[in-house]
Amino acid sequence: MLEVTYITLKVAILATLINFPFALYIGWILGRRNPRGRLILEVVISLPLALPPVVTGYVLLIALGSRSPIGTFTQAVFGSDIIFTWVAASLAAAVVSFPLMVRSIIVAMSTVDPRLERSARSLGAGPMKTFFSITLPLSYQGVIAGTLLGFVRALSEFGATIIVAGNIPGVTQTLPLAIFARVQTGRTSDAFELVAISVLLAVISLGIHNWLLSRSGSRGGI
Amino acid sequence: MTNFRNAISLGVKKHQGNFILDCQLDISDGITAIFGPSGSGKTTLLDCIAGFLSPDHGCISKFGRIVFSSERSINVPPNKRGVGYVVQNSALFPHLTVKQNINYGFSLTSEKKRKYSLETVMEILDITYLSERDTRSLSGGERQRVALARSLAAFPDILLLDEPLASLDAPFRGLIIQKLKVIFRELGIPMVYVSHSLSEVIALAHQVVVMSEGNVIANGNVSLLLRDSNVKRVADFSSFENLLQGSICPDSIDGQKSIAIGDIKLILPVERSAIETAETVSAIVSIRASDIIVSKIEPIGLSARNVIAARVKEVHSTDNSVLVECDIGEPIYVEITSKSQSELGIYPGTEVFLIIKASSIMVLSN
Repeated sequence: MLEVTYITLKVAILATLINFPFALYIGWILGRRNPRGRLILEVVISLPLALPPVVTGYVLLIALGSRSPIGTFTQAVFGSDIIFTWVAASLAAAVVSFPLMVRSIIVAMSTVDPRLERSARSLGAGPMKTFFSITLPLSYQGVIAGTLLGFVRALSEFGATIIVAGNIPGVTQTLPLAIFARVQTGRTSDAFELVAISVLLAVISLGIHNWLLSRSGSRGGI
Repeated sequence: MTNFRNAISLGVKKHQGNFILDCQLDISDGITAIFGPSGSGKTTLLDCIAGFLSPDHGCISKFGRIVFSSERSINVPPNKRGVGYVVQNSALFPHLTVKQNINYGFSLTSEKKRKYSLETVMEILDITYLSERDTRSLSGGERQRVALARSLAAFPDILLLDEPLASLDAPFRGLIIQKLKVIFRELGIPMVYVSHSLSEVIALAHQVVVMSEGNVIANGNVSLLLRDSNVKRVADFSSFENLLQGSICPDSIDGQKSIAIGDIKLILPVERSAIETAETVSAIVSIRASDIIVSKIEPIGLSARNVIAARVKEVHSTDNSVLVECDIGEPIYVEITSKSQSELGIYPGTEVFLIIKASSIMVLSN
């Protein structure tokens, strides 16, 4: 049981870490700028939210498989595929949770008054300095809340994970996969313990998420 | 304007939806007011100078250095233009204290390029006491002074001000006008001041640029503003107020204090006289042009406390009223109807008496 929880957290944390820089960047592009091709970008980043996770998993399986360029690369560097490893489970969780994370970050960043960023620019700050000294400090609660939401989604990922990482006890078996395996084999009381852990993790993360969002409402304006 | 140099030269075209900005303009290194009704393109012009908008065509140079040129594909980013920008709502950083706000641009400037200290700026603007305060606890006048200090502490070559007084109450407006004059005198930073208030323009500017529908329709010194027939089309004389700088004398006459403006003394309202001042204090007073009465003979037996002899310098007529420019050592404007003007026979050179009730003089500085 401890091992399953450990694998779950490990997978979800790596997924969140992979997503964070991209989500911050895309969130800034869509929340603060008005790029050309905005609609296409929005559809692409939201796609995993609309697709069945099994489909996302299947696409990942092809993209990461030994015959794909990424597969060839990992074969050459690490001597093996990443398919059916916990890293593959993380990638699956990352892709599926990315839309939730980035959408919250877009909302958080779009609440920052653009006049503040313009003031920073006219005071001599470049775009990076403006982002880290004005935009991010004024939206960080929303950014953290979005990150937590992505983390919660990564904790509960099932469909894509089982396709690219399988359900290998001690290696890729996360909480949802373990519950699935136990219910399938009729070990319902074992499953119940895992359900309790799942609920606990979700409640803690969502509690922090909601607390942060309620606080961010009082900031960010002029 | 012979003693002013050229600060900004520009010739730009910019389409924004249906609106077209099309300007050819030289801005001096004094205080320049850009005057015009809302929607005339004043803010768009400032945004182009500051680098927040790129013109479709044209060239902008600052003290001879090109900062934008569509032909040569030059577009210096806002943070490297050396152009300060203060907006109407101050846009102070809410997560930083007053001191941190002011230090923002200062800390980004290399030591060699710092021409004065942070303390000097804070002293000029009288905000040293606010240093550790949260920006959200400041009054409108305080916010605007902090915003000014923040801009000055980044050592701009030129300062753009987009209606900095528009959201302020009357007493604060006088204070900011005074501060802007002090900044120019002490630090010599040229300013471009956007306003739709004729009174502010006359009180502050050396050069006036009048805009209408995206074009510059007049450009020159302040007296030109009132003479130009194009300007009369866009200016609203009815709410005109005289903003006069003077000094409040410490001693009172019959229990009422007075203010010296140019060669004359005006008696202030009673409520101002209760305030004890040991020394002469400089202040700005506002007198609405429509609150002043003109008489051709010296009136006697009046309750009004201030009767001043003056000579009419110019008469500016608009559709329904006449703005009479009188000389009392400084220009003062009086609004009368066209009928009174013709009946009284008021023309340039006429000697008149101006009658001003003490209670219609508003002291704007604290």
